[in-house]
Amino acid sequence: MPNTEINPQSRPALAPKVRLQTDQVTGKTVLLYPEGLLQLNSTAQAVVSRCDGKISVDDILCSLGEEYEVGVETLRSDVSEIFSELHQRRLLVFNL
Amino acid sequence: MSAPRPYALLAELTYRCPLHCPYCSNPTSYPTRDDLVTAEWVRVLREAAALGIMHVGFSGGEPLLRRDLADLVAAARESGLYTNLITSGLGLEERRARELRGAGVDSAQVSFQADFAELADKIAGTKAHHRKLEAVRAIRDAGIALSLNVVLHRATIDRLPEIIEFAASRKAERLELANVQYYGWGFLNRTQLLPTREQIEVALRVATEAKKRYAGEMEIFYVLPDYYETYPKPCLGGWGQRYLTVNPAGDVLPCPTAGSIPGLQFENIRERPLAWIWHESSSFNCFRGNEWMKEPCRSCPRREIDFGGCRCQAALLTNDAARTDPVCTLSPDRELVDRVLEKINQASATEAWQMRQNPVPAH
Repeated sequence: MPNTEINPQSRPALAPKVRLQTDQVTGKTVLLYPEGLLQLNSTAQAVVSRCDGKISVDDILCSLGEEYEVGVETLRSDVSEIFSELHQRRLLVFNL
Repeated sequence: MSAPRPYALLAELTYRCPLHCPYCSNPTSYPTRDDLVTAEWVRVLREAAALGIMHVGFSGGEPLLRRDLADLVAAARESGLYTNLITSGLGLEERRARELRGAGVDSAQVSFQADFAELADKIAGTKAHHRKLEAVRAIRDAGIALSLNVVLHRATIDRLPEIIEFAASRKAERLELANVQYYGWGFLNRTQLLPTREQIEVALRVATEAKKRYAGEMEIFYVLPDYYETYPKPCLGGWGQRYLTVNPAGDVLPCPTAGSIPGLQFENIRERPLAWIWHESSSFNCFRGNEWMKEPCRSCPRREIDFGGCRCQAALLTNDAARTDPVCTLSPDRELVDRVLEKINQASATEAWQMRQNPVPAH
């Protein structure tokens, strides 16, 4: 199995095969990839929309904390779960 | 009954193809009419997106034979569709790959007939293997996500370990190992192509082990031949539920092989809007849901799992598209499948394949 430990300094980006798209019927955000799609909940959407390959995992956490006015530690476990699932499904890549 | 929203469109741009694979599921005969022109396809793509579709697969035949392919890809992209090119790779050199990537192709699925040229070219009926290797390089260099598709049958399934290694060496992100589905040319060559039970058992072990070994590196999909299954495949998630196909002449079909069902009339995009065809047409509504089902499907607890299986297969084997898919062991027609299996598991001699031919132009 792939190593799912995510370095907090790494900068996540959508994998090349993945496109972020708004579903024209539901208005929700989805990730599209070969033969599939993943509908994002609002937390996942907030996370993924920040994955531009320039901002680190830690900085994404801080930016979410500011936007939602909650402590980073409160967010950490939810956000880590999203990152590790998207990493496992190879929808995000993490560059150092 | 009300229709759900469709998610994916298969756009069959042409039935012409440089390959002659004996397992092709394209129709063996087809009344040749004029193929849709660029503007008509652009309209199909827009109407598809408006209907809720998010994925388009450009297929055929060989979609690269359309000179306007990049324009169609650009139109799909503009409509927000995720674009997958389903190709033999023939004609996909560096410049074309870059052009298509520039137009917005997201991923490409390239077929390989085997892991080495001699066998692959025999199956393709033409020297194709080396050109495919070049196409794969061009795709990767252009930054397009790469899937490989290898069709398994009696002459290739024993090479599964080599095929998987071959795909990994080409750095495919995704490998589809699809056993032949017996429609079109594949149906004509059924007794020549069906693997034996022993071959299937070995292949399943190889594929299961490889899935684990390549996890995180290359996704592997292995599809069993349904003749050896206990229950039928949930064909496309049910008739008119998630998918639609538009064929080269603009006929709109619930699945690519539905044209083989006798007595069904399909609507054409030249005469009706796509949304009307999806929601209102009798061809889409006739096998939607489970009202149409006969016994044993009608009262079967599995009817919401496999939807009675494949309508095309029922029609091909029993001449009645509303019967239970005969691969189902609960079907009164299962004998039709068992007889074929019995024959191929005894016979050792292999008859020659009947190679795929292109549709003959009407003028």
